[in-house]
Amino acid sequence: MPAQGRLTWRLLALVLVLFVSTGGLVARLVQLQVVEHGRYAQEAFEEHYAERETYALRGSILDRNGHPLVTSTEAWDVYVSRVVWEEDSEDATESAQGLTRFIGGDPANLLSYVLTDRNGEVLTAEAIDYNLGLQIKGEKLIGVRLEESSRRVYPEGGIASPILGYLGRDRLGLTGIELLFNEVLAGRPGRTIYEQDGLRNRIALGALEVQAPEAGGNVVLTIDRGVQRAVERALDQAISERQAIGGSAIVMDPNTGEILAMASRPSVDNTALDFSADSNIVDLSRLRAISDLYEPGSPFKLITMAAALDIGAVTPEMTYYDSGAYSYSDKKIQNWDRSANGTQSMLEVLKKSLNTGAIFAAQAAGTDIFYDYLSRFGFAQPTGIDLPGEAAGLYRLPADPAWSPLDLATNSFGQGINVTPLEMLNAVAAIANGGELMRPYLIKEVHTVEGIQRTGPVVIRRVISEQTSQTLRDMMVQVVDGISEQAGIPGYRIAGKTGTSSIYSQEIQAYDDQRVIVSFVGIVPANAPRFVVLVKIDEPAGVAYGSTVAAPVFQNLAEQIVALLNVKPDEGALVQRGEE
Amino acid sequence: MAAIERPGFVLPRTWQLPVSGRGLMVAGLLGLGFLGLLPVLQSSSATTTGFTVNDLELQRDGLQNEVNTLQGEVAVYSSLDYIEREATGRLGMVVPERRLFVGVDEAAPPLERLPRRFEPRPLESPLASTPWWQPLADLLDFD
Repeated sequence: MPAQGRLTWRLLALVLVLFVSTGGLVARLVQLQVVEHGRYAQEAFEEHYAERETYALRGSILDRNGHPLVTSTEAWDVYVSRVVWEEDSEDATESAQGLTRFIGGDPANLLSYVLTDRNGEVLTAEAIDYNLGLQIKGEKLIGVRLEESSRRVYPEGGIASPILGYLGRDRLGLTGIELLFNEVLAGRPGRTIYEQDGLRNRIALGALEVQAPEAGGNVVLTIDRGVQRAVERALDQAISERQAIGGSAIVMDPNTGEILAMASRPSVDNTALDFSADSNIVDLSRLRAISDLYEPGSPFKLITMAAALDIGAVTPEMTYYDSGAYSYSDKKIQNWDRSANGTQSMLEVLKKSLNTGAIFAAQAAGTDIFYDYLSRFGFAQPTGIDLPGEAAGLYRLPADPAWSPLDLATNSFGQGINVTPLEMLNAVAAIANGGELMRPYLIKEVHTVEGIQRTGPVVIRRVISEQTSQTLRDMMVQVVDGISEQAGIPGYRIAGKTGTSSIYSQEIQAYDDQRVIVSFVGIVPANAPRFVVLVKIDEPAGVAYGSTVAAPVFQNLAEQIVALLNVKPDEGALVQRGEE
Repeated sequence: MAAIERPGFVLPRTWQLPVSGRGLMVAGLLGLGFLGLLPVLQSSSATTTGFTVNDLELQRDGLQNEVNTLQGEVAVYSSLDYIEREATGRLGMVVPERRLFVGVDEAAPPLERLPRRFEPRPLESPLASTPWWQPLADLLDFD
């Protein structure tokens, strides 16, 4: 019998076991509740709570009057679980048959497509119609899952495609306005965190945190859908009829710098995009009216004349002697029609588009002043339009060692100088609006939940005086009066200038007379201009001039645009009731 | 020594309830039982409301999607291509060859405004109704 009060080895062992066990439990509790608290709390949270992302509808891009050029509607992406279909071939066949009834195609092909894919889930149909998706959901097809998505809809068809841009597969803007305003248009997806039961169903009374989705904002352009459509149709028709390789056309409000329409060909069509089939898609997405350079030819005589008139070096009535050619060193520059016209006024220079007269005006202004005016008109500088991918023109300055007086001569009538169509039109807009160079813009308003941001006209600088602007417009009216059959519109006084420029060929190291760019710039109406237009057709087939190819396109366009923009005809053109 | 008998407290006959003590106890228990049922009622009602809210949310999302789809369709129907197709095809209209400008005394129509369907709109909150037992449940301060 053990002595009372003595700690026997058995009791000691028991105490030790209890002590170690308790210590172990305490240690484990500390590990679970203190050391690894975060991990277990997170696991518990994930077990008890689920998160669901709510899709935010992408915003629209609207024309100046609020008509959608591109908008979004809900759609579904259809995914098939390859793993589930691999498990049961009977179920897979049944599901494939069920699914192809809605999305089309052959069930066997679909099965093979899914089962040979390396991903666990295979995207089998993208952005299908919303109601069709609901029907598929109702069928409860095994292994088929539908995910909320959206589809870009182009109510006006493919117009303004390079301006609008398009989205990639990840629904992010890749080009144009879609790229530039991706953040505004995309909106912000919503989030719902809810408590779930063991079967992962939402507990009705459980904790809930809801962050509503923020639908994408809208971007309102300065583009007018009617004008844009007319421009694209006229351009397509002219290119097709004249078998040209491309072209550009821009319509602009000279008073504000708003672009009312802008199109280039060749170009991408957003309604028929096929990334897999067309490797040329990136090139076609370029908006050539702002990115491609060309030698403008005779419309540039307006700039030369503006400079000479503005400093008082010439007047419309001032004369010079046209011998038919200008010679420098061994080079000889002739008029476009090889004509020699004798004594001619500056007005005749524009009316007959005499190269020798443009050289005379540039020389009268002086080399430095001529190039200073080019700079003031914004040449060789980006216009600052709110679109990505704008290029700046190019010309040689007198400071360049390679520059010679021949450059001044050729530059005066728009050869040996590169400009973008937008640069050229923006300079003509300055002549139209009284002499101020505006910053052209395409974004009129941006609508977000925070409010509306508006863009207004920006005057870059005054280039010529109002008087010079008026004088030059009057001279341009007489140019159009001379070709009113091709460029005039009854009831309106129109100012304009034709252009036919040769293209420099690297192969022959000279200008190729067989390849030309024909163009026309016009101001409507001449007295109180509401819009200016540039039409440029690249390399039309056969004998082509600005007056025979580009001017009729302008005429066709201007006739439609005065009606679309409610441009009042000149006084005297109105018919009184009863007269008709 | 004789004990003095004192009468106990007796309610006047007119004050006595027409039920026995046992009846009172039963009624009390029933009352307590009813009070105990209130949280169940509340919980049941909240569950039902929760499911209704879920259903309504789904319906709302569905309707919103339908509205968006219809807006897309409206946009297509108001497109220039569609209008031209209808005008030249169904109505037999033609592009005018001659244009006359007639002066009128009427003021010009107002400029076309941005269609409201493409402006962001705030969501409306639904009105809630309170069930008859809710004030009682509130008194008991159930969570």
